[in-house]
Amino acid sequence: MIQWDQIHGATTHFPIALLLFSTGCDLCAVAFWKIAFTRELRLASFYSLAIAAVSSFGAVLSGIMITKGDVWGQGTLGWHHRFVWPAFALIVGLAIWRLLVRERSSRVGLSCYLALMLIASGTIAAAGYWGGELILGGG
Amino acid sequence: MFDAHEIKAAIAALIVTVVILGVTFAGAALFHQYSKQQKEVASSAKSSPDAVAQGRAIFFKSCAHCHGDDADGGEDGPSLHKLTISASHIRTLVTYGMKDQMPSFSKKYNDADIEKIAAYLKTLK
Repeated sequence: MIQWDQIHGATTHFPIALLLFSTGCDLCAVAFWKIAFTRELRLASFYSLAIAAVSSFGAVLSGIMITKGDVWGQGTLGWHHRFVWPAFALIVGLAIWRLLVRERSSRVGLSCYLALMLIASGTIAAAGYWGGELILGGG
Repeated sequence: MFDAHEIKAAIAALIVTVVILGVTFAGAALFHQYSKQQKEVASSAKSSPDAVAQGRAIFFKSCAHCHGDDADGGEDGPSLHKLTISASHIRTLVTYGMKDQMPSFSKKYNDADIEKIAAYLKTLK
């Protein structure tokens, strides 16, 4: 029998870590735009976001298997899901947008992208927190 | 302002995201429905006297210290007699807990054990 809870524990950390890393790289690239490796930072940010988006499917699928298809739930699980779904939507949407636009973004476009990346980072961190509460919070 | 290719990319990203979420939720809903049916079938088989006795034993082990030995209420937990909620609702509460009120038992007990606890609680008058 497949241990979906273990798979979820293993897969869920990739999108969390990579999204936070991607946001950090983007912010550094904007804050330190005069330094030589800004382009490399943007590149690292792009690839980490892309891998975060792909790995988020594994995390979501294993999560659905654990809850037996309950995408909302009650109590701690409900709080976990309140943050998971916006985070998942934002990661996928931002990765697709970034893939299509690449480095040809305007100043306004980049600002909106960064704002949404910060929101996505916050929501995925909150989802991770409530996920931890589900496992470590009691029982 | 936004460039035209950025707007097009945003629209494309939005459409693909909505489709992915839609497929995810639809698939999850179908799976949820299937799991529910399976659980109901298992539930009817598991409300046997044996299952109730085992549920009572589990209750003593993990629930009685809050809800009382006879499940009639303790210092930290309410009475569980004459519960009006369904067995399915009981299973959900035991599995996921209630924030700041009751811990989750999903790590401690599997579905079959939680089923037995629910079966026992439904016998309390």
